[in-house]
Amino acid sequence: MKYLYVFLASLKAKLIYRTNIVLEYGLTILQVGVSIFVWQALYSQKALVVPNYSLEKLNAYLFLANFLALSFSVAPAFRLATQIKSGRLSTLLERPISLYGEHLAYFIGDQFLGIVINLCLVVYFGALSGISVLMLLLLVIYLAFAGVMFFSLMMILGMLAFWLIELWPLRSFVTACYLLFGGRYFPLSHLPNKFFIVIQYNPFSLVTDIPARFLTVGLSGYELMQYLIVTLGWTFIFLVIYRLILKHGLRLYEGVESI
Amino acid sequence: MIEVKNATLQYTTFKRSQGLKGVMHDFFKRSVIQVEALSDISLTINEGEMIGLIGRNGAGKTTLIKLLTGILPLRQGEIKIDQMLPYQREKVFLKNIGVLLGQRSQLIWDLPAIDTYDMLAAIYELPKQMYSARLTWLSEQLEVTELLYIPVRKLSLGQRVKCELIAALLHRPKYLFLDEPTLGLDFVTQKTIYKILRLENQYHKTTIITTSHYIKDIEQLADKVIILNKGKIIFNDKLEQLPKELTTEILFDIDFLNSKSVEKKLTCAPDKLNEILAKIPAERILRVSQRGMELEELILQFIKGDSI
Repeated sequence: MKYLYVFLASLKAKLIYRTNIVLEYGLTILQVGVSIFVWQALYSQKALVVPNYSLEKLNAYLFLANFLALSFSVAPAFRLATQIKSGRLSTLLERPISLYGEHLAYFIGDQFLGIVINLCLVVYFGALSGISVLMLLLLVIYLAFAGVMFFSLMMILGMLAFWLIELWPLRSFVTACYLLFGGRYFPLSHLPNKFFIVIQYNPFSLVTDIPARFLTVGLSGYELMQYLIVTLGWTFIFLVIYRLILKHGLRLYEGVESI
Repeated sequence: MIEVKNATLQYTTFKRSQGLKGVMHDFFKRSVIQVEALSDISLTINEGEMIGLIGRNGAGKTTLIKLLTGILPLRQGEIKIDQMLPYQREKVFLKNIGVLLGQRSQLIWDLPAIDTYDMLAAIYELPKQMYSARLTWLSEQLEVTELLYIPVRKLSLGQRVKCELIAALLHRPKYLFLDEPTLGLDFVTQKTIYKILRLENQYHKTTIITTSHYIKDIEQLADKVIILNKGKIIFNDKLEQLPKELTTEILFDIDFLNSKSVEKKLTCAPDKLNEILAKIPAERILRVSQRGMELEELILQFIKGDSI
């Protein structure tokens, strides 16, 4: 119940700043528009073509990959890092609430609008591609687990602030990794096979490239289950690392600037 | 009950060299120094006590509070609150503590305070009726009922602090830790806060530990004072037990009416008191009072005396 209230508080706080929401999605559309424009030019000149992707499918892929990235955001990492650096983490430590649970509930509340939009996109593109309801349901379940996996990774990243204090230098690196390894510039299947075999299982790819591929060129149920198992494996690893890092990190925490 | 036994806390910090050459040197090899924030501290705070924790900057007050609230781990010595170790942060322990800081807000900045209270009520698992009654009482006492639905960022400092106090008291904590609770507030708001905290202590036996550089906070909110200096406790007793012999000068003020019925004041040393009183007709004497050292000065002298 307490996490529901954290979720509601986060959602309310997000909805207060309407302009920010409009800007966030507007800028993403602009960014995707630029990518589509570039690929359109490449395709028209036949300079570069992604196998199995017509221009329409590629446009849809880029749109989906980048919009999904809005929901699977790196924000939790930097929220946690800011709390550690400012000493505001103490407020959470003094309350009978799980740090992970509070952050997850806050994150879902903060991204709720994006989650709803993405679910609508899933249904729309799924219907467009002729994907069955059962498979779409499987995709939604997959996305839920992928979300928890990605969130756990972000929590680990945020906890580096116990040692680094300033996490902002990593922001560019994380963003670059997400754009490249998440397939937000181009489908990862376009990479040479020897790279793709490994890269396809990275956490960034699992939340953007895989679902976008599923809804455009299609994936079999077996393949989706494979990715789901990998996702669960990553989640387990990240949760173990999270607990270890939290235990050691809290020993270094000084609650600077506050009690 | 709070029990602290032989608590010692050291932390590592780095000594920064001066100038660009020093900075470059530190880039490759930093000078590490050990600082003893607390040194062999032992104290007991019984349920319902109101404690003032004072000392100079860097004396160890905040470090002690962080240990008591479970923020910092204790490696040497022992701290127990109701037989629980604070650093383990058990649910029962966390439900029993409340923290109010002068400079750190626990309210959600963009939302009205009521949203934070609803969330806290769920976090602390307060029964609905109890939460409602408690919130009504606290907001009426602090005169903030109309402010509960205004975004926190729109409130003035004094209004915000009152709302922060509600957040800290909502779950009726057994132990309340206050750090500069009246910082930057007008005297009316200060009096209101003192009143509320005294009522909490009176009705619910809330143990209140106040850290403040403002002596008025200590006078109003503490029956017992713990003075820290360089990580050590140099005084731990009732306020009135502060040694008066530290006072360098005792004087008496005599207020009286002169022959023209105008109020006058005379100040004299103790050995001259009887002599002067004998000269003033009894019916013209308004009051005689001993002018001792102000509490602030007394504490300062005490700390200085320990430092020598």
